[in-house]
Amino acid sequence: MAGGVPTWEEVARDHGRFLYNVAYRLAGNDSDAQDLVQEALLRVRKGLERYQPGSLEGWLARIVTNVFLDEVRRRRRRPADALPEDPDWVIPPSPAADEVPTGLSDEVQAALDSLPEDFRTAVVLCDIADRPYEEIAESLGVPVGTVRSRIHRGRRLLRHALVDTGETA
Amino acid sequence: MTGRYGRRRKLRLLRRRSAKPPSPRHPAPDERLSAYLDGELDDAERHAIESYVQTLPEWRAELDEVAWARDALRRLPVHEAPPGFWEAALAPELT
Repeated sequence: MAGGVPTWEEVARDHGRFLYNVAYRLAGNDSDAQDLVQEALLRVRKGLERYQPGSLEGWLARIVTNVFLDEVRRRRRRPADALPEDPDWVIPPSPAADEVPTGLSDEVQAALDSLPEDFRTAVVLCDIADRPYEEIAESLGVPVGTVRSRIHRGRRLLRHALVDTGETA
Repeated sequence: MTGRYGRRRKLRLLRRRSAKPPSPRHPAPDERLSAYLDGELDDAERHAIESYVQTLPEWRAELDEVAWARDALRRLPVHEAPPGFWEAALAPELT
């Protein structure tokens, strides 16, 4: 990492897993997560020269979140495009043979998918990407108080969604 | 006499009641609970929240609720990209 600026290979090798996981938790399915990551990688490549040494994962989380929100807005502008709530739109990935049983994780992901995007992004940035409130506020362009409120309400909604499906342990 | 005395007593009681400050109402549980779990409160706020949680059942219940959700999210496994995704995604960039 010359002068604190990572190379493309370092980003992919060391942080690709993190990037994909955040994308998947935002999108809720592999097909969209792949599209989000592809677009995020393009933006990372364009922005690498301007990258200010700091939290690389914070920067990556911000980029993939912006890609996600851009996509949500684009689909809202074009109602002909199906939204994630449309069951026909989501093609469930075929489970890998060596997939580790994930317990409640499918139910938690489904509850996450049910949250409004504003709450989902705040919760994913906090609990999946592990970013501090101030950084989340900067990424989303909202005050810290709004982030605090969205995280709290998002968690409550998630809990209630899981209670409704009888999936609390 | 008794009636007048009774009326005066009643008036005194009413005055005393109206002079009494309203009983302090505790705030309803709020988003500071999540900020508390995330270590995002300053010392004064943290102490206030700890006091509410220890003394008010509704604060305790909501803390448990959001702590459960936070824990469920943080315990989600890392979701891996399908086999071959990274090779395909990065091939043009790495050459």
